[in-house]
Amino acid sequence: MLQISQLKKSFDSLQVLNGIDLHVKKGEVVSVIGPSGTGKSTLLRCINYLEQPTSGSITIDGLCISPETKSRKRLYEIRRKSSMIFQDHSLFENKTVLENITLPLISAYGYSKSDAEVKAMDILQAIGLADKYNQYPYALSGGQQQRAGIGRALAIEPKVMLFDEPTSALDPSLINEVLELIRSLAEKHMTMLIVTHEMSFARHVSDRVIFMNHGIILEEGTPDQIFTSPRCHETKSFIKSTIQRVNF
Amino acid sequence: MRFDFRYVIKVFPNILSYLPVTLGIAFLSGAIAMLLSVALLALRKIHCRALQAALNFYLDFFRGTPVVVQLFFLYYGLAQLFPVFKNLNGLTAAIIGLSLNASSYMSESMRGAVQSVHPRQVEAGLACGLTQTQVMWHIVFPQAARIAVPTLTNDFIGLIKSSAVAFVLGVRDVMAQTKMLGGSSYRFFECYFVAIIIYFILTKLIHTFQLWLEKKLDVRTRNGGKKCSRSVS
Ligand SMILES: Nc1ncnc2c1ncn2[C@@H]1O[C@H](COP(=O)(O)OP(=O)(O)OP(=O)(O)O)[C@@H](O)[C@H]1O
Ligand SMILES: [Mg+2]
Repeated sequence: MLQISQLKKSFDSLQVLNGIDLHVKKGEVVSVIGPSGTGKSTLLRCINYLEQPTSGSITIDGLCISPETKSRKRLYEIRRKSSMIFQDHSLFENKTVLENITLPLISAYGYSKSDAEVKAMDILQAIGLADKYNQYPYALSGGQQQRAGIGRALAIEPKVMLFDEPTSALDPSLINEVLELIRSLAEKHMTMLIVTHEMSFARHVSDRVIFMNHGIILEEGTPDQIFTSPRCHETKSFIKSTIQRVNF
Repeated sequence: MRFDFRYVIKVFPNILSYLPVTLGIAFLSGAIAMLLSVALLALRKIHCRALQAALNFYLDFFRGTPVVVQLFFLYYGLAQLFPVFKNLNGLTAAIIGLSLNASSYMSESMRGAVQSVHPRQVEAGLACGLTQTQVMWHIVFPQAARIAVPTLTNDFIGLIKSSAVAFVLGVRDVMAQTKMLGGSSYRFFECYFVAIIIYFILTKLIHTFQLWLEKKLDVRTRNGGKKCSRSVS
C-alpha cells in the first residue's frame, strides 16, 4: 500500500533522512518511535510532499512520485491518497467542525455540499462529536479537536493515515479518548503509520514497530520483539529512557 | 475676537458640501491602494533579487518621505520631465499619489496579517488535498482578514487625514474650502473648528465600523449561531 525507497532528505547541509526503505502493507499499523530530532516528522511530511525529499521515491496505492517525476498534478494526486494528523492547530480555525470536514470533500474530492454534509455528520456521529458540529475549533477541548481532525482525515477515505504525535500536545486526561479512536481504526484495519511517544499504546496497537535513529531505520520488528528484546543497543537505551520517569 | 457660534452654524453646511470630494478621494484611493497592496504581496512571492530590491525601495520611498512632497514631486516635478504628465489634473494626481502612498502601508499590514496565520493551517489544508489557491482562499485569507481589520482601518484613517493635503494641488475638498472661507472672512477659528469636527466625526464613524467588522469576523462571537442546512439528527 505504501512503499518508500531510498528516501533522503536534507535541509541545506543538515542530512535528516539518510535513505529510508519502508513497506507498509494494506491494513497494517506501523508505529515509528525514536529520539527527538531523528527525522520522524520529516519522514511523514515527505510522504505527502509537504516537504520535498532530496531523492528517493514514494508509492501509495500504485501511484509513484519522486523528485524527478514530480508534477503539480501528481503532487495533488498523491496527497489525496493519504491524510495526515498533526500534533495541534490543524483544524481550520475559521470553519466550524462540520465545515472542517466538508471543505476538503467539496473542494478536493468533488462532493456536492449536501452529500458532504451527510457524510460529515455520519463521521461526527461515529466519533461522538455530532453535537459539536456547529462549533468553531476554539470552543473544543484539545482532545475533541484532535478527534475532529481524525474525523476530517477519515472523511476523505485515505489509503493510508499518517499520525504525527497526535497526543503530544494534549492534557494527560485527554490522551485516552484520542488513542481509543485510533485503536478503533486499527481494529477496522485502516492502514496507518503512527509516530508516537506513547510506548504502551504503540505496543498494543501496532503490527510492527520501527525504531528510527539519526535518519535511518535502525531496527524494526513486532512490538514484543522491539519492546522486550531489542537487538540494537540504541533501541534498548531509548526504550529504557521512556520507561524510567524521574521522580521529583 | 469672540467665538461666533452663529458663523459656525452658517458655514457648516457649506464646508460639509465638500465632504463628498474628500470621501471620493479617500475611498477611491483606498480601493486602488488595496488592489495595489494585493499585487505587491503577490510580487513579494516571486524569487528575483532585483524585483525584491525594487519593492523594498518602493515601500521605503513612500513611507520614508512626506506625502506632501510626494504629491508635489508627482504633480510638478514629473510633469517637467515627462510631458505626458502635463495633462494630469490635480485631482487625478492626488488620487494617484495617495493610492501609491497608502499601498505602501496597507501591503505591509496585509503581509503581517497573512504571516500571523499559523503555518499549520496551510499544511493541514494541503495535506487534506486542497490546492495552494484553495488553501489561500478558504483558510488563510479569511483568517488574515480578521487580523488585518484594525491595522488596515488605521491605514485608511491615515489616508483620510493625508487627503487633506490634496488642496496643495488645487483640489477643492473639505480642507481647501475651509481654507478659502477662512481667508475671505478672517474667521479662521470658526472655519477650522468646523473642519476639525467633520474630520473627527468621519474618522470616529470609521472606527466604529472597524469595531463592528472585527466582531463580525471573529468566530468567537458567532459560535453556535451559524446557520447550517442540516441540523443534528
Ligand atoms: N524546515 C526545516 N528546516 C531546517 N531544518 C529542519 C526543518 N524541519 C526539520 N528540521 C531539522 O530536521 C531534524 C529532524 O526533525 P524532525 O522534526 O523530523 O524530528 P522528529 O524526529 O520529528 O523529532 P520530535 O520527536 O522532536 O518531533 C531536526 O534536527 C530539525 O531541526
Ligand atoms: Mg516530530
